[in-house]
Amino acid sequence: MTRCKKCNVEVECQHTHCPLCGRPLPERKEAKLSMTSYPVYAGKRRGADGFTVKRALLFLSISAVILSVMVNWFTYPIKPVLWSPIVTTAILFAWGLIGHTWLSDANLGQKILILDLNLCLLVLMIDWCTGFSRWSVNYAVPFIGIGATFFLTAIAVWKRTLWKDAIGYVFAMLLINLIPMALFTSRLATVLWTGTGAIAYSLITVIGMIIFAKKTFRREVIRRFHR
Amino acid sequence: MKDWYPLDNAAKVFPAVKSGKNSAVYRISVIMKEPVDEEKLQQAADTVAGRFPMFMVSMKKGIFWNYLEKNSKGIQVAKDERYPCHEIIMEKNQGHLMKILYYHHRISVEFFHVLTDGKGAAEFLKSLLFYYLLYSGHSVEDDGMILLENDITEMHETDDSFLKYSNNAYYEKMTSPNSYRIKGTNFEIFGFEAVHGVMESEKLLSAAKKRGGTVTAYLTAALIYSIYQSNQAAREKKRPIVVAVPVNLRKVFPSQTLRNFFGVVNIGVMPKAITAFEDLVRQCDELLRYKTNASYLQNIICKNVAIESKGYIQGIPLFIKKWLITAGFKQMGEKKKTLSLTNLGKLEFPDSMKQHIVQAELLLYPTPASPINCGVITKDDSTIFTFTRSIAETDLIQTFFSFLANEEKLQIRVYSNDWGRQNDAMQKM
Repeated sequence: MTRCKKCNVEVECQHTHCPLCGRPLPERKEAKLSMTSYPVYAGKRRGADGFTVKRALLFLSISAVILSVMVNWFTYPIKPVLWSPIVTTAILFAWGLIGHTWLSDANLGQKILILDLNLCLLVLMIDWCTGFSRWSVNYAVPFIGIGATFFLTAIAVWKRTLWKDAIGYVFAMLLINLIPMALFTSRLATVLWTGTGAIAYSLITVIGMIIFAKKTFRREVIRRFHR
Repeated sequence: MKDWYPLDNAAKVFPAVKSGKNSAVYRISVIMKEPVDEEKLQQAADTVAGRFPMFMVSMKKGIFWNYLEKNSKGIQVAKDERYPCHEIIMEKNQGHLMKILYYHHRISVEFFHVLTDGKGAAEFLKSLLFYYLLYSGHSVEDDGMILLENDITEMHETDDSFLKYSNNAYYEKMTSPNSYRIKGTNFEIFGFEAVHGVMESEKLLSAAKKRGGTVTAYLTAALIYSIYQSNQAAREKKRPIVVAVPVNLRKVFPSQTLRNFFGVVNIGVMPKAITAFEDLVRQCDELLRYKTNASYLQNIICKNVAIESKGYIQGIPLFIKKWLITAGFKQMGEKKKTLSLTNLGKLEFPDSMKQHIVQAELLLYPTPASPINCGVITKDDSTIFTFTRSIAETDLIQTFFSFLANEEKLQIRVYSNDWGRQNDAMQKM
């Protein structure tokens, strides 16, 4: 055991420097492993400055957004099409697709839900920038909702372990599928059957769950709605 | 046994405020006489998992509150490779909210605070060590001090004792000024450094008695004194230096829950009022005695439960509640304290186990607003005071230990995980 004269404490043999003042311990040239030693953390460099693929992609994405906005701005008088918001939304969509859908540890239900919302945002932006002929709100958004609900239930049926999680997400999809109807009510959408179709599909899914998995469904409702 | 649990009153805060920099994960470790055998530790973990079903859970999101759901996946012991109190990412941890780690002679358990407080974690660790020693071929007896595999898990062990001991009593609402806050430079690569100081329990107790306080009051006073001495800003500011001390409510209320059941009392002093250390100890002792009496603690329980049980709070969806809880935590918790000091007291083992365990450590996670926090634990005659910090500055820690060594004549032996020094090395890689 060596004493740090400055701090007046004994320092265990794994240290060559005093952990309090940081001064080198003159009698200790080499660190030894002791009972209280911690692991060596070298090699864990998360957070350090430097080049990483993620940072390179982030840099390229931001650059692409800035350049597209600038080019769009200057060429707008020649060709009056607002295309830079599409580029920006597409880049955001790609980030969501890679970062959340592909690489994240989130469960499958959440991935489908977020992908659904991202995709809806992308199609809305494309439609809005190309004259808003309402194909997105009339058809794309409701059918994306139906597709997502179908995927959720199909995966839950295929992988029984996901069944419990799927119930929560099917509920969330039911709420999301109310959006097309809200768009119709606010006169942003002009086609009624697709919106009602999305709600009907979600309702049928929920009813199916009640019939085929009544106990699980009831249990999940109690858990998720407890106050 | 239930296969899901609503979060207890204290636990409801942690999922909302948790982040990479505020992990809400604390650690209790023991240093064993012999190097740790991974296989035996895994065997012990598998055995105790069934006795502590309330810890073998995953957290799920409900519409109004999060809840805990039974996790059938076994708990996997792992080599300690990251800095202590690292955020537990459920998805990367088999869905579990706790970890069992080992390195060389050290066995550690890390808990996300949503599961339990120090008392519950200590009970788990004791059972784990009992079976670890048993499977390692040692002759150990439980002496009625260990929760055993075949014991029935009592319903009251999973109680939310906050609800049980809350009544309709009048509760005091307090508004206190914001406290002095420690500022510093974050490590270049984020992580926590643990600095341990080992003292002889008997001598520490004598020193505390000599100054007229309990060990907790004495250490609280020494901390306040060190903050005052080491930091000019603390001396000049008009804000109080406040140490938040978690209190085990089981000592006052007859609860046997293994889930969270603690309250936090703030012990604060205005810098201008700091004169002699002895007076400070007495002041802290008086405050601690007052704030740990049954009626004061009842007040804390009622206040916490009253907030949670308000109809309009219950009806707010979780994603909005999260923002409200975070704002409340910052305003009513983080801004009102300078740092936290938790004293788990003595970790008692049967005689047959004691000889295999050298000492224990308790590490409390720092937060961005409170970048240095402290944990104290005693095993036999060794009391270990641990600072966990996320900033490079060590003035406070150095002043604290040097003060105890120089002025109070306590023998102190220090060691750390060297995150700060290793940080410099990592940056050069």
